This record gives sequence, C-alpha cells and structure tokens, in this order.
Amino acid sequence: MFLHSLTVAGLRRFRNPVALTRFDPGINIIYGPNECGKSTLIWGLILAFLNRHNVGGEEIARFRPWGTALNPRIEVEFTAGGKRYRLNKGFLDEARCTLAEWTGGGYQDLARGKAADEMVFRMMQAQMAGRGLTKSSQWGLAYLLWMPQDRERLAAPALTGNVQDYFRQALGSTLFTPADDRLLAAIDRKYSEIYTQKRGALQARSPVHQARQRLEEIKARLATARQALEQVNQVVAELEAQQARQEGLNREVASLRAREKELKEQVEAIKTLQSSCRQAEAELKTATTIWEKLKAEWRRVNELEESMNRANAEKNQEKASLAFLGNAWQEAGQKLAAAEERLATLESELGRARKDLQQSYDRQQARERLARMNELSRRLEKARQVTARIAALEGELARQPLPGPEEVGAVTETWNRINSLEAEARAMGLSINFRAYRDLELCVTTAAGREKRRVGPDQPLLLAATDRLALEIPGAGLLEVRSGSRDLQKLLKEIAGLRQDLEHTLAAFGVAGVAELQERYNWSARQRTELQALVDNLAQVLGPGNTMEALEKQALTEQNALAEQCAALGITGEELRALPGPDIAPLKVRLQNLQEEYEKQKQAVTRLRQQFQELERRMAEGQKKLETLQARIRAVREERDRRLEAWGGSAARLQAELVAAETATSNKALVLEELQRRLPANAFDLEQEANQVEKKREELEQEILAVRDRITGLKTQLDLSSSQGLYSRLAGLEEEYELAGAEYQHAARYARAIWLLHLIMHNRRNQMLNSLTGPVRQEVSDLFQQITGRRERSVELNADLSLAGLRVGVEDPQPLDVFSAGTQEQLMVAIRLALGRFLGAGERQLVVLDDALVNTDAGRRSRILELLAAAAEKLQVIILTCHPENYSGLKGMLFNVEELG
Amino acid sequence: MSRIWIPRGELFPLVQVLIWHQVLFSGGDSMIRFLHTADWQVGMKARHVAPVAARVREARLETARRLMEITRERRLDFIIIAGDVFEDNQVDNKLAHQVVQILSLAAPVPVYILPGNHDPLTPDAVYERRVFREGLAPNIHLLRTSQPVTVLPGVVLLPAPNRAKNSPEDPTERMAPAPGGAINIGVAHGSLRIEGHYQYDDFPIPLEAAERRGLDYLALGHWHSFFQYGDRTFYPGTPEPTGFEERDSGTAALVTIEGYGARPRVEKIKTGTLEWETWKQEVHGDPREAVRALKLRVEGLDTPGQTLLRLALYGRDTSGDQSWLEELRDWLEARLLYLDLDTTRLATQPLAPKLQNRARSQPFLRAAITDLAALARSLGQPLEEVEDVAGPATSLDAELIDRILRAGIKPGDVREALGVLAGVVEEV
Repeated sequence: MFLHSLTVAGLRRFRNPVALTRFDPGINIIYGPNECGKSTLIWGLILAFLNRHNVGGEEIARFRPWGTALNPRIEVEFTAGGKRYRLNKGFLDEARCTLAEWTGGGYQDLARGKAADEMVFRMMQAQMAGRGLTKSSQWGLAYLLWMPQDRERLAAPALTGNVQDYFRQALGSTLFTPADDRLLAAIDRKYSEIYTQKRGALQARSPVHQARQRLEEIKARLATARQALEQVNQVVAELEAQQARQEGLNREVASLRAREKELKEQVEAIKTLQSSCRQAEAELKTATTIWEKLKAEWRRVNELEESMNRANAEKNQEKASLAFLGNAWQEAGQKLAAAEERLATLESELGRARKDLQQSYDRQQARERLARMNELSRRLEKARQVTARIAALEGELARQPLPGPEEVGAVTETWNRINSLEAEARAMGLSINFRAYRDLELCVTTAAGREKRRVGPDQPLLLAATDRLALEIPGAGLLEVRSGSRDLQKLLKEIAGLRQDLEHTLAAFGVAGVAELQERYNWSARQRTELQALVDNLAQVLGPGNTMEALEKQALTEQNALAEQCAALGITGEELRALPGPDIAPLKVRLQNLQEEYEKQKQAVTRLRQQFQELERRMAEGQKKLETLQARIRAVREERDRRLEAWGGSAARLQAELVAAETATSNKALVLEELQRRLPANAFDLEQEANQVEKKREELEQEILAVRDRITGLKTQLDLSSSQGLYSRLAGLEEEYELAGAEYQHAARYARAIWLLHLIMHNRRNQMLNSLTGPVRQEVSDLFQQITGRRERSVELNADLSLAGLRVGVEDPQPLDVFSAGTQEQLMVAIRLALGRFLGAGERQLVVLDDALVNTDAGRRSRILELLAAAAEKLQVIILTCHPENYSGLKGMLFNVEELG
Repeated sequence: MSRIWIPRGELFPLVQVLIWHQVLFSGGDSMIRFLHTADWQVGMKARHVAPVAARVREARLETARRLMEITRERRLDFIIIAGDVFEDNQVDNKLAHQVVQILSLAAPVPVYILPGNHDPLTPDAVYERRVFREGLAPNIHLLRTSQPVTVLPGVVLLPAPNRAKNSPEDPTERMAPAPGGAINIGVAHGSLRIEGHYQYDDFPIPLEAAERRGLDYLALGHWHSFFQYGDRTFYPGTPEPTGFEERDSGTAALVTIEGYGARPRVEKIKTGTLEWETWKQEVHGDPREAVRALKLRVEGLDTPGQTLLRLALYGRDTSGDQSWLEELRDWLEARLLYLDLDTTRLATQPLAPKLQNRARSQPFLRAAITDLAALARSLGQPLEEVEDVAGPATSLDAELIDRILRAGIKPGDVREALGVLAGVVEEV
C-alpha cells in the first residue's frame, strides 16, 4: 500500500481542509517547524486506515480543533493490491466511511460504513478495536512499518495476529496455518488444565494432582498402619522376651529356694550345736573357775609359807648385820673426836696469820697514797705556771688591733689591683726614648715625683709615665708632656679611689703599708699558736676533764685520807715515809698453807661425821626392818591360818580338793572340744550365705512381680491391637493404594503426554517462526551495520520479531536501553527498512518516519539517506522533519506544512 | 474311623449280621478318613487384584464352608488344618469369628488346627483371642503343644505347632515320639528340603521325616500347590488360589488310611471358589478373529463371574481402528469377575484416519508427529505405526531430549501423547 494524496480537515490545528497531493511513490518529505501539524497529518492517516469511523470516546474527541465542534474528516487516495482506492472518512458527528475504487474513468464506491472499515483493516492487516482508538500493536502493517512520534517510537514491533499470517504469506511460507494455531491452542488449553503457565507446576485442580494427593494421603495412612503393626511386632518381641525372662526368673527363684532351705537346715543344726557348745563352755567355765579358785588358794597358801620362811631368814640376817654396825659406829665416833680437835687448832693459827697479812696490806696502801699525793702537788704547780703564761699572751694580743686573714686578703687584693691598673695606665701613658749625643744630667718629673737622671751616648734614657712627663735638661730647657686621654683619666681616677680605700684600711690597723700589715698579721698568728699550745699543755697537766679546782680538791682529799690511815697504823706521816715497805709475800704463803691444811682437816671431819651418821642411820634402819619382818611374819602366819580354816587348817585337804577340781575341769574341756570339733568352721559363712540367698530370692520375686505386671500390660496392649484388626486394615489400605496408584499412573501418563505434546509442538512452532524471521534478522543486522559502520554489532530478534537485544561481538545480547538514543533510533529505522524490504517484495509499502533521526549524527544520517534512496525503489517513505536540510540529498516530494494552511 | 451306624432292632437280624460282618472282616474298625487342608490364608491381601480384593477374601471363607460341607457329605472322621488358617495374627476380629463359625459347621466332626508361620503361636496369636479361648465349639481343637492327641482310639496326632514366623528349625523335631500300635499322623507347617524350593528359615522339613518319625501320614502345610513326596508326605495345597501365578492350587487332600502301617490313599479334591486364569491371545491383522476366539473361550468357562482373567494380547493390529479393543474390554469386564488386560505387546495403529489425513496436509502437525517418532526412537521403542505419516527421520535437539528425559518421560508416555494428539485433532 502506498499513498497518492491526503486531505484532512477539522483535525486539530487544521480546521480547514489541507491537501497533500501528488505523493511521490518513493521519498516524500513533510517539513515545517515544531507544532505546525506534521504529526497531525500522520494521525490523519492512522485515523483513516486504522480506526473505525464510528469510534467514540474521549480519545477521538481530542482530535477536534481546539475550541471548536468541528469533526475530523480525512480523504486518502492510495494503491493497495495493485488497485487504486479513495477512502473518505468522517468522525464524531460526521461519522462516515466510504471506500471507492478507481475504475479508469473515476472512483466507484466499493463499500460504506463498517464494511468499508473492515476492507481497509484487511488491507492493513489491522485488528479492529472493540472500543476506543486502535492500539498500535493492532495496526497490522502500519505497526511494522510506521514509526510515529510517540512513546513507543523506540519500541521494536512484534509479529502478532494477522500481521504474522500476512508476513508469512509475504515470505511465501505455508508451514504454519490457522489450523495449526487451533491445534496448538487446544494443546495449550489442555496443558493449562494440568500445569500452571508460569512455572509449569501441577494445577491443584488437575486430576493428576488430585490423584497424587489421594495417593499420598493413602500412603500416609498406610505408613501409620504399618507402624502400628510394627509396634505390635515390637510388643510381641518384648512380651516374648519378658516371658522368657519370667521363666528364667522363676527357675532361678526355685533354685534359690532349694538352696535357701538347704542352707537354713544347715544353719539350724549349727545353731543347736552352738547352743550345746555354749552350755559346755559355761560348765567348763564354772569348773575352771572353781579349779582356778582352789589353785589360787593353794598357790596363796604356799606363797604365804614361803613368805614366812623368807621373812624369818631375813630377820636372822638383819640381827647379825645390826651387831656388826654397832662395832663400826663406836670406832667411827672415836676418829671423829680426834679430827675435830685438830681442826680447832688449825683454825686458831689461821686467824693469826690473817691479822699479820692485813697489817702489811694497810701499810703498803698508805705508802701508795702518799706517793699519789706528791704527784698531785707537782701537777698543781705546773698548772699554775702555764696559766700565768696564758694570761700574759692574751694581754699582749689584746693591746693592739690585729688584722684577720680576710682583711689581709682584701688589702693584698686592692694593692694588686692598684698595681695592675697602674701598669695599664702606664701602657696607655707617655714614654720618651732619649738618646744623648753627649753625657747629660737630666731632671725627670713624673707622677711619682721628680728625679735626676744621667744619660750619654752609651746610656740612652727610656722614660715612661702615665699622664704627665717632664724632662728638664738643665741649662738647656724643659720638655713637658701631658696626656689628654679620657680613658687614662678614668683609669687614674679609679686608681686614686683604690689608693684612698687602701690607706684608710691601713690606718685602721695603724700600719704604714701593706707589708707592715702582713707582718702584723703574721705576728698575731704566731702568738695565737703559742697560746693554743699553752692551753693544750694545761689540759694535759690537769688531766682529761679536770679543772684546777678539781685537782686541788682531789689533793686535799688524798691528804686527809692519808692522815686517817697513819692514825690507824699508829704512825705519823713522817714515820710512814721513813719506814721501809712491808714484805707481804711470805705472809701470803704461810696463810695459804694454813688455809689448805685447815680445809683438808675440815673435809676429813665432815667425812668422819658423815660415816658416823651413816652408821647411826643404818643401825636405825636395821632395827626398823627387824621390827617390820617380825610383824610380817606374824601377819603371814595369821593369813595362812585364816585361809586354811575352810579345810580345817589342813593344807593337805586343800590339795586333795584342788586335784579333784582339776580332773573335773579337764573332763568338761574334753566335752567342749568334742562339741567344737563337730561345729563346722564356716558356720558364719553359711548363715551369711543363707541370708544372701534369701535376699536375692526376695529381690528376684520382686522382679518377677514387675515382669508379671509388664507382661500383663503388654498383653493388654496386644488385646487392644488385636481387636483393631491391623493386618486387615493394612490389607485394605494397600489395595486402596494400589487402586489410587493405578489411577494416578493413568492421570500422570496423560499429564506427561500433554506436557510432551506442549513442549514438542511449541518447540516446533518456534523453529518454524525462526525459519521465517531468520532472514529478517539478518537483513536488520546488515542494515544496522551499514548505518553504524560497526560490523561487530548484530541484532537479535525473537521468533515473533520482537527485539531480543543488540549483540556486540560474541557477547550476550544487551537490552536496547544500554545504547545511546541515536543508536536506538537508528536500529528502529533499520528494522522498518528491513521489514519494508520483505513486505514490499510483492507490493510497494508505505514507511513513515516521524522525526526518526533527531539524535543521529551527520555521518550516520548520510548513510541512512543512501539506504532510504535505495529503499525508495520498493517503498514509499514519508519523512516528517523540522530540518528538511538534513534530507537535502534525497530525491522526492517536499511538502512544507506551513504553506499548506 | 468311619462312623458305622449299627441299627438296633429296626432291621432284620440278618441285615445286622451282614453289617457286623462287614465291620469285623473288612477292617473297617481301624480305617480312618479325614480331610487334610492347609493355608486358608483368611484375610489375605489382594492388592494385585485390588478392585475385587474384598471378593477374593470373601471367596476364601466360602471355600472354607465348602470344605465343611465336603466333610459332612463324605462323613469324614476329622479334619486337619496344617497351618495358616489366617494370613496374619492381626486379622480383623470379625474374620476370626467367621472362621470359628465356619469350623463349627463341621460339628460333631472334630477339627484340628495347627498354627502355621502366618498365624504362629506368638503372644499376639489370633488363637489367643477370646473367640478361641471362650465358648469355642467342642469340635474345634487347637494344637497348641506338641503333646500327642488321640483323635480316635488307635489314631494319634503328633502336632508341631509353629511359634514363630520364621525358623531354621525342623518342626518335626519337636513332635513327640510316635506311640506304637496306633495310626500316627504328624502335623507340621514348613518347607520340604527340596533344593531350590525352600529357604533356610522356612521351617525346613527333611524329606524322610515321615519315615524317621514312624508316621503313617505327615500332614504338611505351607506350599500352596498340591504336592506329594513319597507315600506318606503330602501338601494339600491352598483350598482357594491366591494369585495368577499359582499352579495346582484350590485343592484339599481327602485321606484314607486303612489301618496301622497301611499306605494312605489320598484323593486330591478341587475346592476353589474363584478361577484364576492367565491367557494369551494373538492378533493377526484383523482383530475380529481373535475377539471371536476369546469370546468363545470365555463363554466356555463354567463360572465366568467367578473368574479372574489375566489376558495378554500380542501380535499386530492392522485395522487402524482401536475401538474393537475397548469393546472387547467392556465385553469381558461385563462377564468376568476381574480382567487384567495387557496390550503392551500388541502393535496397533493408533492414528485415526482424520489424523493421518490432517498430518499429510498439515506440515506443522506432521512435524510434531515426526518429533514424537524421533523421540520414541531415541527412547528405544519406535512408533512403527507412524512411520508412513511422519516426515523424514530427524533427530531432536539434544537439549530438548535432555529436558524430556529429566521430566521422566517414558516410551509409553510418547505413545500416550500420540493418542492424545489424535484425540485433539478429532476435537478441533
């Protein structure tokens, strides 16, 4: 289909009729500024070809010119299927549609109203909308080839509905027919009855799902029944085990009972024997007691006899001993008296010797005191002399002022400072080197004074002065030199100050110069040293810590003591000094010898006295012992007689009774031994074992009771389960499961068959569609590569021609919005051109590009223009643009919309 | 021992004399006749014939009643049931009552029941239930122990009741020693030690057990087919078959022993209520011939309504119309108790004429059929019947095959899909 003319009126900005006549079968460019009505013209085409004339609603009403009640009217002349038609359409209040065919001489009406609409729709392969404007996806060929300026401008078209068939026919394919569609729809319907469309899961209402659910339900019940039956088996197993256990326990209890009985009989016999033993033991004990008693009595009597005999022997022995001691005592008394007499003699001699020695000691002590008193007198004299010398020295030192080391140091320092400053002043001062041609006598005046000097050719004169120097050559003249240096004056002033201070200090000590002051200081130091030596000497003479007074007091004390001693000795002091010194040593020796002899004698007396006393004591003891022995003999005899009273005082009778008791005891012991021999050694063990067996038996009987209870419980369980007929129930369930399983298998097989058919048939259909769309895909890719100049880019289309993506190289296809707007619009143009090329193979088709290349650069645009020029051989292309200069290279019709109005 | 009725004065004395002569000189005083049966398996599962399972179970009770009738009719001395009266100890109480009621029908003929491996004397034994403990009919005797039981003067039963479901022990070992001078009948439940016919824990019984134990007759149970070993060892078979695979079942043994030491005479009697038939029918080209033959055979059955039939059709159906198969199925099911029809080995032509025509004119449909044929070939079971319709042999995409296999599609599903496709084509 391609256009010859288009006339619109009452359509948006075109109130009055506007006609575009003489469309070129190839390129047509409709241009004008924005909002001049270019797109409205395209909407005129859309309304004419793709919408019912009687379409109602808000959408069509919006096409009225603004603020008017005008109705849109469109007339289109076009060729389709090799025939030329004129379509005349009015909308809204002027709703009408007339399709006329060119018959050579003019147009003849073909159809009117709805029939006309339907014919046009068929030509466009469009689908009529039920209400409102037709959606773009229903536009048929226009959907594939027109690229209007709206929101779907950059959306790729897809093969749907009638277009698909038309496309198929256009490509000469008859592989997929409407009958196939119906077949596939029937399969799809059956598939959707069983499976969900999205995930392919089983529908809840599908028979196979319900059969499976029923099967699962029965399976669960079956599992429960099997579990119940298994529990019965477990109960049976446990019951058998418990019964076996019960039997075992019964056997064990019976065995224990027999053993217990046997043991108890043995224990009973042992107890009887033990009783006899105890009785025999008691009898034996009684007999033994009697025997022991008699034996003790017999032993005691014998002991008493023996004791009495021993006492008599001792008594006799003691008497002999006492006689011997009496003799010894008398002899000792005599020796003691002699020794005591000698001791008294010695004691008297010793007193005398001691007195002599004491007198010698006293005299010697008085002589020693006399010597000490003489020494004290000598020291006192010496001390008095030293004290007088000290007083003289101190008086001399106190008479004149004496400089200390500080004052001497300060004066010396001042003096040195003055000398130093004067040397400096001299250096800064004046000098004259006078060389005389002949000997002369000069008079030189300096600060130090005036003096005469002699000079000659061999004796030059070298003079130096501080600030004033005068040289007078007598008879010749006076040369006077003065210094005007301020520094020198300052220096001289300081020197003068220092000299004044020095003189003041020296005057205070009454000396003329520094050397005299030093001499005064040295003298005072020597005097002080001597004074110190005297003080030290005095201290030595007095002795440490002593004073003169203490020493004098000590001398007086000694003098008095000596006077007392002399008085005691009965001599005067003078006699004491005249007497020779006493000889003490012989007196000491004699006293010592007497003392030793006295001590020895004293010890001998003591020893003799002790011996005497010992003999006395021993004699008293012997006497006492003798009395004791006699008393004991009496007591023993009395006891023996008393003990034998029971036997008439006869020891023989006691002995006879003792023998009889011993015989009886032996007999009893034999009886007991026999009984004990018969008593088993493990009697205690047997009783213990019997107790243990009894305890064990009782425990087992308790366990039997518990087992019996458990058996009763298990049997009750079995009775309960038996009444349920679990096996029969299981049989019924298994059969039910079998039936449900068969039903499920049947339904599942049918479901799988449907799934398989659905899969295979859709797969086959896609294959067929792919075989149709493959060439289109290749064409689109070729065109796109030509436009972009990028050979690595290829376009991926789905089976229904919808865009799958743009592939770069071997990467996965990318969605279109990844790329630039220019690339997107170029691809859309390429798709339209490719589709147009296939659809235009049999008949020229109309391609509309409304502002299709607004984002395209000049290079790509020029390549697109080349492609459009080539496409114009089979396609009619209407380009709407506000930049007609961009399409200047294209040959075709140009329509300026502004001029149309 | 045959009950010999001696009239008392009602007949002429000569007749009495003749009768007594018969008693005394024919050895009739020591001859015994009894029914040996086993493996009633009352309450058994029948899931292999699930739709008629209840009927199959009911038939076992009917057969038991028939055995009681036979006993009365034949005036037998006693009945021995050598184990497995019940399929399991946990059967429904109602079944236990029904069995007791049936056994009481034999009164006054005593019935001796031996617990088998299916109903052993375990703590949960069905025989421990009240119905067997209290108010049991006096003619019903349960052989609970191995104690010899004198059933008639000079006739002793030596039972060996099973106390477990499995055991490697020979049950005859537990029998009491056979007393001398009596007809000794051993009763046990287990497998004879015939190589390949027993398992080690299946109560194995030595082949020479009867001789070894000094038995006149060894009444065994456990094997469902009638079986005789030597002169004295017998399995009576189950009185009611339990499945299609059983052979020589639905029987009982009617035993006559003339006297002590005499060789038993055993009559195998048919007792089954239901008939379990397994047939095969070949189809050659036109199936009408085979259908006719089958119908004749079914009509020839004595009791088609009591017959369970497993029918396998094989061969090739070239009619191109499968309606005969459905008709045959309906016809058989209307007459038989149960039909298990196997057509897996019958090559048919499921493509209806319309499908064939459409496939020839509709490339897409032909392509789909071709794909199904390719898939069937891939799965190892080609759809021969579509070869002339399908396009040139192609192979499916490996990814598609993989997806199909992962979905668990079987060759039968492909055939089913073809059938569904034919149906859909008919619909549209």
